[in-house]
Amino acid sequence: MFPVRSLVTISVLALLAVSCGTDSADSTTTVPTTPSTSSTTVVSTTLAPTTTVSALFPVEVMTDLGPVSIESRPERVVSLSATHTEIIYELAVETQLVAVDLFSNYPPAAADKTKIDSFSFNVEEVAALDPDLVIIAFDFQGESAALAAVDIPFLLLGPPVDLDGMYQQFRVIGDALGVSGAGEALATRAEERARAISADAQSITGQRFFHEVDDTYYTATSASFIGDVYSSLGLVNIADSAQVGGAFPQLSAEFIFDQNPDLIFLGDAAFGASAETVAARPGWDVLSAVAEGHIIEIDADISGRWGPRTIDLMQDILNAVRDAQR
Amino acid sequence: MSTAVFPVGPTRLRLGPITVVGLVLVGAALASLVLGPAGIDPWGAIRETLDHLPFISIDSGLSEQDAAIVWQLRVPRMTLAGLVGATLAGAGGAYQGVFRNPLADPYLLGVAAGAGLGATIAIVSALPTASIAPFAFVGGLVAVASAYALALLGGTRRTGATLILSGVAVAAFFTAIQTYVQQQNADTIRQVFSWILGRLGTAGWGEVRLLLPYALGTWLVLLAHRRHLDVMSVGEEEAATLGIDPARVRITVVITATLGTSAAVAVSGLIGFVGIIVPHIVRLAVGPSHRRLLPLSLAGGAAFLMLADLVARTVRSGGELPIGVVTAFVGAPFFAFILAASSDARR
Repeated sequence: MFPVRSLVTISVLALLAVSCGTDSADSTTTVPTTPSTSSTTVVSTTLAPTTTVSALFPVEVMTDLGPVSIESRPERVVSLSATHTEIIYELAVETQLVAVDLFSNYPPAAADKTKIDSFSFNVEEVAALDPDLVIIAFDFQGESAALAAVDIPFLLLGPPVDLDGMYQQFRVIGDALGVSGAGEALATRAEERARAISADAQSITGQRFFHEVDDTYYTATSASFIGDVYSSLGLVNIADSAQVGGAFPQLSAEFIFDQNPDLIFLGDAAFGASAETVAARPGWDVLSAVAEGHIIEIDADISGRWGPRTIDLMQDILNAVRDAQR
Repeated sequence: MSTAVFPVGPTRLRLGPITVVGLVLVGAALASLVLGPAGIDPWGAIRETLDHLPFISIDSGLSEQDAAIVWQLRVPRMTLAGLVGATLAGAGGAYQGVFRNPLADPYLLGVAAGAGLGATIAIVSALPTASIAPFAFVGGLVAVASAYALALLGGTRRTGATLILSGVAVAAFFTAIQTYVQQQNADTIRQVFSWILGRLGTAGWGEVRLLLPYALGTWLVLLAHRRHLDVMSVGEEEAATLGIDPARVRITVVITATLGTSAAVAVSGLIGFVGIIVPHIVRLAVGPSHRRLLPLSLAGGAAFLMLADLVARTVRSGGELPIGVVTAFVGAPFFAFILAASSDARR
């Protein structure tokens, strides 16, 4: 019964790559992530006027399941995704938040909220919190149908495929929680920062890389969100030239050797992968990225989410590549 | 009078089937060596491999990178596929003989569930990757030992059926624990599934060295028992009257096959269907005698898994398919075809 069950699961494995990668609480990383202290102050200044304008309910927002109308400003929000918890805190409306997903480990203050395990979704557990809005990022376990059945308003906002999709979700969350101005400001500021970082990334443009999701060489192509972050830096993904389907395919070691990428990004650093373990793999020492030490560990939490810290990650990747090649 | 129920007709290995299986095996090995997404010159790949054999020194003419692809990736992966395939097919053939049940496979007594639990514990405890194999190995052995203990408790007559049922119960129990541990540690679910789906993609010489002694030992013991299995195929009581202790043969064969299977599973994850399909194809081709079945299953299993792995790593250029998907997707229809063809031939 083992293989059968796993065969059924394989179709969702690729998608889980995103969600699972996000879930390690204590990821070790060499990429220091700049806490967005400056940005929080920007938000709070823009917040003051927007809270007064927010009486414009009902509001209609676009979700993955089509437009959803929210009748009044939600005061008891449940976030079943670590990404959306981060966005809500960044918009400084966490007072409207009553519970968050188990893996919502950022910002640290989120630890004080009631925790819900979205991996074993139980609609009664959610309903018991009496929420007036639930935000979900995945619908693997029939979350949307279950919430609809008990008349709990919800937004399904799955992983976007690119940065534009992320900016759009900032606006949607802002609109839905009654802080449209803050949502718009967050989106605009993120977009401007990303554009500036891209413009600054000329020196690394065209470099070819392999992004490792796990130590069996699952990867993320440019069709994935993290893939778009790399593309925005002008980097070239070796997985794009493999004849494989989906955004998270498994590459063969031989293909990676044949491509001989300039850079290796370790999305599995939290699970023990490091420059040393990669160099210790049989034969890998012939790869130029290994020989020249161009192996960069990526924070699994941030790279698996699509929140305000994604732009910090862009900057960190750019810095790390420059440092490695100095 | 008892001679009448022995398998009738020639039971010795004949040259024909050996030649066919041998050629398929050599062909599978050569194909695994020269085919791959890197498009390396086939003669270069062969010369590079020969260069590593003792007393041979040839310049392969390959770049350092291509040489590493051949000797560090293709050859160990092919070798491991061969060892795992042979061990699973041999163990499957032996299990089917000892339990006289055509559906018996190497995972029957809970090896897969136990190994899965062991591997899951190693993964969720964030132990180094190298510890997954020993954990899986021990897990598999513990599961089968539990099945045996349960069978001893459950029945005064230690028949095969009691043992199979105990195996089913133990497998269900271990799978339940494994699933619970996995769900409690959702952050490592990807690693767990990647192990469960079977992995030859990261195989290196280290895995080959780990498995080799167990594989060779398993093959030797199983081959040494092929006559006993033939005698047992007429029935346990009949075998006992012929001076064979069925319980002893069964426990020796089961322990050996379990050790081999656990070792194979520990390095490669769960690869299904090999242990069922290969012995049955061999049986359809040469008949039920274990004297022919076991050696040909070993060679055939090696060839089958090498070819399945070749498909897994080349069908989508640059990508991988889970090996278990290939063994089932290619193996099951092929098996159905052989089955249909052989029943036509008998008509």
